[in-house]
Amino acid sequence: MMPTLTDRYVWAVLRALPPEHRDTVEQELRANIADAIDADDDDDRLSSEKRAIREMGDPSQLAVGFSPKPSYLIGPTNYVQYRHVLGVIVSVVCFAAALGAFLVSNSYSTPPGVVLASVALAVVISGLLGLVGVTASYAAIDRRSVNSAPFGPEATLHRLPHRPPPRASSSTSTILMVLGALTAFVVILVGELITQDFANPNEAVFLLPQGAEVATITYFALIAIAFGAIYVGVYRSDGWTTRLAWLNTLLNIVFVVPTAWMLFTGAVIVWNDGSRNADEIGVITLTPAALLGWILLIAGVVDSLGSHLAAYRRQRNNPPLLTLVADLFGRSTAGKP
Amino acid sequence: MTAYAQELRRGTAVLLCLVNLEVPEYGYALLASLNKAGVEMDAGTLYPMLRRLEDQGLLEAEWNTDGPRPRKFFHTSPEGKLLAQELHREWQQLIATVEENMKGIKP
Repeated sequence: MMPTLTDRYVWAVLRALPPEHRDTVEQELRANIADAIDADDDDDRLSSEKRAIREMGDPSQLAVGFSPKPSYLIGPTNYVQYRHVLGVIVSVVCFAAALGAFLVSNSYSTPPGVVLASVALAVVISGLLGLVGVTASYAAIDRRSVNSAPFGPEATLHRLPHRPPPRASSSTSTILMVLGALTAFVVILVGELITQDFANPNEAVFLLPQGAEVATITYFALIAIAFGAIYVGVYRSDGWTTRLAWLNTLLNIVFVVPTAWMLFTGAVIVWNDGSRNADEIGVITLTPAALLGWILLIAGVVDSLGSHLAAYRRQRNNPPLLTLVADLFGRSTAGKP
Repeated sequence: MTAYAQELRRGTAVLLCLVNLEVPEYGYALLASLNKAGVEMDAGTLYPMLRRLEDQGLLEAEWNTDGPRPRKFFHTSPEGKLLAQELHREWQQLIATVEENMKGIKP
């Protein structure tokens, strides 16, 4: 069915609002527009619809009024998308920079403190660059997309956006886990090929559990594919479901636990100078590798909990988080004597 | 002149909403009655304001599904009524102050 002018106008307002506010604002907008159309004397419904929409005003400005928080540098049209892209870009850039800094500095038998400082510095600098880059880009986009003509003329109404088909709710953490798995896969594969000193096996750097290279590479590849499949499932279901959340948790376990174990025990990405082995390094040692392992573990837990929370909120029609917490607290105390 | 007059009227928008909504009403009907009473207000200004007042607890809202189409009816909450009384007192003081100052101005 072709979207009506009302559909497009409502979407032009909603797209600038946080997802948790969209449902209620949509109901109100549609009811108000319908009332205005009904009150119009014109027999031509399309003309009445156009008049009603013009009375509502510029959708960007209306979104500012409905927005729970004011936005300054980035206007309401692009703010939600900007925040989403910023989160993804900064997270990925920081992760890649941290991994790169770790690999480079750790490959030259650098003291652990220096490695840690290099990683921290790389994260801060790349994070700031990502922040500035994305913000500057969106500020430019925002200013270019500001309506040059007042809202209302026929040409402006024709420019109202079409609502895209249903999409998955924000699942940034899952995308990051997919990217993390893929990055690890590529780094390990490439590292395995370029760092071996085949002429002198005693001095070789080993990046994979010795004797299990093919199995490990296959394992990471399958995990990356499985994460991709889950994301497709989230996309098709238009959000997290309980089943997908449990699958995501399972996948996090099979990805994070072995990877963290390898990092803790030195079975992967360790300079093998012949004087130490996995047993000597120990399971929980605060080396840069162990720190990376802890970060992965925490990311896995956060991702799993996030998917379950998203599925639970979806079941309850996406109430605000505070309402959900209050509801849970109320229910948990209600049963007590 | 028109812009200044509009600005002056805009300052009374919250008070007028709180007073008018002592009887439950839906958004478009309120807009129509305000415009009929000479208070010109854009739909794009009124609807977000109603929502903001609702979020602040000054209005209470309820969806009515009895009609052919659901409508959200607003009415002034007890807190809103208290605020309306305070704003009304302020308004009266403002009028008195303006009148006092106008005495010295020749037409």
